[in-house]
Amino acid sequence: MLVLKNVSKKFGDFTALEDINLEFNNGVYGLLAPNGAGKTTLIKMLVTLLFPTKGEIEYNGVEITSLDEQYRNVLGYLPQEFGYYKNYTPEKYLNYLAALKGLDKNESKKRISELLELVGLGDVTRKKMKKFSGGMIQRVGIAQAMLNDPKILILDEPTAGLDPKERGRFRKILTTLARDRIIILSTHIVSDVESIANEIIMIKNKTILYKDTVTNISATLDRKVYEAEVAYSDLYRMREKYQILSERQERENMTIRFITRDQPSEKWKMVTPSLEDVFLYVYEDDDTLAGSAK
Amino acid sequence: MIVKEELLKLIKMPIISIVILFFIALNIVIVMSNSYLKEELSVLSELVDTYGYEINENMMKSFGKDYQDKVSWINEIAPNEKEIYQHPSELLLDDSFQYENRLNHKDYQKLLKYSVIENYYVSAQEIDKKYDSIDLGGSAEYLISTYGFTGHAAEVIREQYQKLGLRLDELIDNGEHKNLFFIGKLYKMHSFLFRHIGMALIFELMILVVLITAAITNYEFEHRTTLVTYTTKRGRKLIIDKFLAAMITNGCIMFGLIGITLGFFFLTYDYSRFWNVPISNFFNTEMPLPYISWWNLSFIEYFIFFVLFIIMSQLLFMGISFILSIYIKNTYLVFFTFIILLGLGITIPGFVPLSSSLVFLLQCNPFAFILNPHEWLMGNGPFTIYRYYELATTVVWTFFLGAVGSYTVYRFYRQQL
Amino acid sequence: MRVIWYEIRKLLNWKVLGLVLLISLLFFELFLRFDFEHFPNGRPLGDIFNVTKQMINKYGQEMDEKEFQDFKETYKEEVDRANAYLQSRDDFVEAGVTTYEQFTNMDYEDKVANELFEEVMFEKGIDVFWELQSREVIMESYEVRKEFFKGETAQIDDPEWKRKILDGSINEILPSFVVENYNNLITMLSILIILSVIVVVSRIFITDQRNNTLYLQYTTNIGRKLFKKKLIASMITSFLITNMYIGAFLILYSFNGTQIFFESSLQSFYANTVNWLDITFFQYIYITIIGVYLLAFVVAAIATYLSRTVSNYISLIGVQIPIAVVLILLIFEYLVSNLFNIAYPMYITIGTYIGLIALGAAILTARWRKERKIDIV
Repeated sequence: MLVLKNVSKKFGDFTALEDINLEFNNGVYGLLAPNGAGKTTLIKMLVTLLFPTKGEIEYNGVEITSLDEQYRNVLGYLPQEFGYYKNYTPEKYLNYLAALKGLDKNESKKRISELLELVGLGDVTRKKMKKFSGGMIQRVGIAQAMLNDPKILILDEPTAGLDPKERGRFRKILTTLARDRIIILSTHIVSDVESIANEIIMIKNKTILYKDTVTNISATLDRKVYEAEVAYSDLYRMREKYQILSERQERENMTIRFITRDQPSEKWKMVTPSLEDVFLYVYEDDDTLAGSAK
Repeated sequence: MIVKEELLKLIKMPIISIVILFFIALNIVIVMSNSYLKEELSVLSELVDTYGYEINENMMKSFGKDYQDKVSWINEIAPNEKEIYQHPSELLLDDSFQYENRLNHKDYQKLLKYSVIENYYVSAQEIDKKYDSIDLGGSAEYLISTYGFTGHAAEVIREQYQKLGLRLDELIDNGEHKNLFFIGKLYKMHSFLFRHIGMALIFELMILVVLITAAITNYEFEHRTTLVTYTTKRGRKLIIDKFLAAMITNGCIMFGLIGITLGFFFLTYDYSRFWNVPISNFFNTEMPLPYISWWNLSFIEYFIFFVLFIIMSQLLFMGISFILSIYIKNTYLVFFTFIILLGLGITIPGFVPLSSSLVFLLQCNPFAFILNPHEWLMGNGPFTIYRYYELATTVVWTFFLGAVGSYTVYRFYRQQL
Repeated sequence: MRVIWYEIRKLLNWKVLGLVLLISLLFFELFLRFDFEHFPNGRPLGDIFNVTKQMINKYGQEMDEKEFQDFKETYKEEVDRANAYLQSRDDFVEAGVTTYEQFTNMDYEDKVANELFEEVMFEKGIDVFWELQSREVIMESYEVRKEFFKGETAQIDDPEWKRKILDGSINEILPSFVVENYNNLITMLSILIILSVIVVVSRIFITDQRNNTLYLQYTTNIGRKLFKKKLIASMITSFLITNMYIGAFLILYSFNGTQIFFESSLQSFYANTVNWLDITFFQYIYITIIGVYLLAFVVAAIATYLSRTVSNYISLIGVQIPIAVVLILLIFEYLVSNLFNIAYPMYITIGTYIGLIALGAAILTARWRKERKIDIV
């Protein structure tokens, strides 16, 4: 069990996170927030790259810095932008990281070929990585994170650069893995976590806004989300009046999805709110949102 | 405007100022390393104030008269009554005097000063004899045998020494040699300024120029901004702005480093009376053969050419690193590739047999060019003995690098990034 | 150990090795080759070299006064040979030169005499005349050895130390140019080693830092201890590079044929400098090589530190230029070849070494302390 107790992080005068309290058990957690909200800071603290200014992070009741390598032994991490050596083959690269992770040489050999097979790079194990596409590199990164069969797997924007097919496969891998470990997945892409995360964590204003299941979070907007078909001429008025969640062109009219607490009109159709709706609603007035949600 | 932005990128690299400050400090140390000579050097200033620097009959007459007065003073103060001294140095070398130390401090200092004057007076009398005995043909043969030139190359040396002989006659006719200057064999001020300080400047500037040119040219590649910058309206032409920015920065740095170093030099060593003394004067001689410049140049003219050639060589280095940068795109590698080119430029001429005149041709590269700055425009270096060596090397290479550079830029416009 | 091995392999990749090899070859060509190829350099040094070697074979490392008498005898025999040669030449007889003494007193302003001299010494290069000249040089320096030493050490007040040298090693045989030749070589070699270590070791952190590999490395089992592993890798690499150069150097140097002098004291009668320590040439070589290793380690320590703290290649080169220049200037002064010369108080050499090592250790310890708790942003 991984616990954050009253964790704050400051960079000089700037406060990135304040008084965070979280608890992680086995399962997939989706860390959902727009870019710049402090996701990466939180994650870097979880992986010991940053140290909390205040508060503690504990794994099974012991502070993680005092656990030191015992903690990092059960940790798998895929950073947002991770480094690799262009002139290395994935095999050589993973061998190097296996050495850093303190894995036995012979065992890691087997593990590496299994993992490369798993992420679908089985036939390019001896090709230099400089010829790889972004997606292939990302898959090497995923393999790397799983090398030591971690109890805690932390993935920062893991699906960046993956195509839709690869994303699906990746989600499947994660669900299998999640049975006996903590998986924390940071993303700003709602669909990545919607279907697989046991719980979603949303950060706003330097602190935790939600930590709950997708259903519960979505329920916060119950009876407030509507869809309506409006003429183009009315579109402007609607935009002024309501918070639009999405717009879709349909024949001569536009179908809009929006939030309102007003008495609904008859033409409107009430819909079940989705996680994406909450995401858009929550970060509507947030400066950091700038074009991130899909 | 764009050039200004490029300049800002450079100014924001603190390391460049750190290196410049270090070099300034280093040069001040180098300049000061000869400061113990200051007092002796100043004796000549007094002489020039009294007699002028031109050596002619009248001057020698009054110089000689005063000198005789000094000699009689020497004999007056000499502790040993029986001995008659012809020159101050005789008294100085007199063992009994040395050990007994019977002079008071003031007289002793005066004696030392007179012995310095003696040096100038005695040497001045020997000028004609010295120049009559210069045997350039013999020097040529000596050179040929020490370096081992044969065949055509040996012929070239002989030929060039013949031409140098004509220039020597002209020099003697002009009386260029008959001028007072710091005694080269004692103080070596010519090599100190033009060789030691010159080389220090050249290599320091080279390091800076290569780093700066490479840094600015590769900036986008090293900051992963290539895709953004080279697809703007200005596009690939940005490379021209970068070149200009490098040029401006390098210019400022050259101006600063050369200015501060040499400014400090002339503040430390007073040359104010010698600006117009011909560089090929007899006193400047440091080696058996006096310095013989191919043209009648005064010290200040020679000095200006010296600075000009330093700047020219740096511009050539800048061109080379600019071209390398476009191809290599990595500052670390450009720097070391340049060092390797430098090494090749210096060593390759050494691999050519000393029978072929190719030896001389291969010396015409910017790297070999900077090895003997104190012999620029002089007929003294065996490999750079051609009258137009300096001019030809710099001009030809400017055109050559200009051509290669333009082609490189042209290719860069069409290169797939 | 596996991690260290990986780090070393990353440092010594073939591109960097190629670069260093190329630079080394050029450096060799420019600064080292001459002292290997032209040793001893021309006449009479070559002749002196041979004579001194004969002396060691005959007298051992030391030549005492009695043996010096024998040496003078041999000189006389050589003079007789020279006389015989002169008398065998009609042109010399004609010029009235029939003895070696007359030969040395010839008037060289005179054209005939000058030509004869040139012919014997340079065109024909008759060995006996060169050998005689060499023996004269040797005898002269032997005769003035004590005065020379006393003169050089006039400022030093240590009668015990002086007496020991004057009674012992000052009689030993070791021509100064043999030591100078070694000094030139080891000085240039140490510069080459330092530069190579800088070029290779400087990359230890910066490559990983530049492409964000540090994030991965610092979250693995090894974590921040990677700093120590990389430091060890730098040190081993620096050691390997130094070994390679020193090995190659010793092989090449063995062809200079100076082994016979190894047991002679540096403080021989032919020395033109005075050293604080009364050591043999071999011990001297030993100590200078230890010095080179120490310098290589210090440079590796500094390069490792800078590689971790500096953020880009330009700064990395820029920062190391002043460091390299200062070190090179110190090497020329007293760090390697003149390390026990009385021109410098001994505490300066030792102090500089201790200072450099302390500096290296200090910055690395400070960095390690910081490294353990620094935020990797």
